[in-house]
Amino acid sequence: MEIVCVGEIFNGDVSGSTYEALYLGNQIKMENGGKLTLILAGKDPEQFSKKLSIKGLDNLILLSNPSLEIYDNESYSSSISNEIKEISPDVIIVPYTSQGMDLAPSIAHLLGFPIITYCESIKFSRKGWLATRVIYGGKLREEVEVEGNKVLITIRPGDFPPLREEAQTNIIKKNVSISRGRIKPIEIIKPALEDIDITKFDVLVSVGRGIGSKENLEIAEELAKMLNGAVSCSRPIVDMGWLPKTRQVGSSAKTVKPKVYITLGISGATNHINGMKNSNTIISINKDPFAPIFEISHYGIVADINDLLPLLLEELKK
Amino acid sequence: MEIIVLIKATPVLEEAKISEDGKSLDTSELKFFINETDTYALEEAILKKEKYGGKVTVVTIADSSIENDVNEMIWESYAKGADDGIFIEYSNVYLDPYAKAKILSDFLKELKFDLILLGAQSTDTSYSLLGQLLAKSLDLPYTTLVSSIEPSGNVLRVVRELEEGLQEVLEIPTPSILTIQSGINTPRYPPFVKIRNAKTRPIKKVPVESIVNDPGQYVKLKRVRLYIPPSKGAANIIKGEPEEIAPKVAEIIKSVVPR
Repeated sequence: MEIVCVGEIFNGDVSGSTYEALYLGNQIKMENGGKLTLILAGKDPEQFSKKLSIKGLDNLILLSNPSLEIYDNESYSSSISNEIKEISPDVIIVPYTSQGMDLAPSIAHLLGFPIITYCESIKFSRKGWLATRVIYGGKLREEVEVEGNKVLITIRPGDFPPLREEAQTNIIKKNVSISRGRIKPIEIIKPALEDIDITKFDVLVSVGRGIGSKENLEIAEELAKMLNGAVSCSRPIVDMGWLPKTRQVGSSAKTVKPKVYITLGISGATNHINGMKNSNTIISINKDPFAPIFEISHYGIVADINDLLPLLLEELKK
Repeated sequence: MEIIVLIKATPVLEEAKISEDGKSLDTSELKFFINETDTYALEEAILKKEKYGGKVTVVTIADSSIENDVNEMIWESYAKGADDGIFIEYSNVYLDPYAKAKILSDFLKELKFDLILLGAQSTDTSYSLLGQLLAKSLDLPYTTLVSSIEPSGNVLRVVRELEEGLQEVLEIPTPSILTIQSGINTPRYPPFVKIRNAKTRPIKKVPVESIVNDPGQYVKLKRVRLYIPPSKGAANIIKGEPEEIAPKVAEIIKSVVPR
């Protein structure tokens, strides 16, 4: 079986999710036999050849062109698919990152592969590929089948461990030609660093949509202060403008591993869970007893934040 | 600017129930609303119309069994500022993003528009595929996870949200398809009186069969099973009256927080 992973360079380095895609690729290889190839496109991907010489990875293909410095859908999808065509793989694995969400459907289209996004696992059966997906915010799972023996899947960052053990890998360097399409990439903007770094705290009090009011957010601040911690949050709090982006925990925002992670009104979307599940102790308060956050919590408290939070603060002050 | 906004009916789900076929969700007791990121797409379209003129048309494909909720979604869109609403109805068939892209592509290719907007991801099936597949089908450029749109000459200057707070700026011509990230704006809540008035306005209903025959044939991602994952729950569950459990929770916090 020919297995191809599409890697990515993010903020000047190979993204963590690239190694996770390789882990799944290597698993499929161990189950079915075959060859594992990683394709990495960029302005100067050769600088990563040593890092990406990994046990289990047979071929590393580095596609370079100065025009590939910043991602754009058309240049990336055409150069990567041209390369994949030569390999004629059975399965292509792309991380479901901001780049993967944009890029993968175009690659699938150019190659005529069906695409299954946001997969938790995949297996090859007699009828074709069968993927498991986590849906409805983690409350349900579905099994999705595509006919035929070819598929492109995207996987969620944080679902698989990285494959990193160094070894010899066959490296192929190619300069590719790019003809610019309709989309013109301009620049990457980095965030201004003007807030605390939530990854540095032993205790995080993390608030989500269920926090309900700004008054409760103030209580959360007080709670965090009392515990020598900081306040972090899930996405809806940032969307509402209650906390800056720098406080957001999630596989697409910041990944944290504090000693204690206390969630207040966070239901536990996958993106959030994959950004905090490795915390030492997780204590969650949510009024929905079916909230997926409880699945990964050491202590699950089923209660309304509005009622419990003020009382809890009083208790802790004693 | 002529903008089409694709909105999806998604349910609020607490305790899920699976239908007897083992493949579909029992929706009989569920209430459906506009998918969260689609509300941001709709707001963005209305803001652009208010600033530059033009028209906003909302289009949704949904099962006719949830007709009442879909009507309310469209009325809500009118109350917010949408001009037209189109409800493409189907029944007794499961449609994946491929089938929906085929239907929409056949339907929309007859219409004139500058921009198609939709949410970057749905809270139900989370494929994040429809916009991209539709773009391929209509041969339009697309980009995803958009957090800002500004016209600049005859192109759009668009910002995409990346990981760790980074953003990418790019230029994309029109017509094109953009999938919208939450937080791009603050969706408005229309006053009740506007919603009530909106209910007198017509909704264009289009049976899916009038666009394509047997839409099920375009499904590529076949759902063979839907299930509730076995719950292990939290290691320790605490419930009860707030007064009762507050001391217990305080004790737990004290015992694990480093001094």
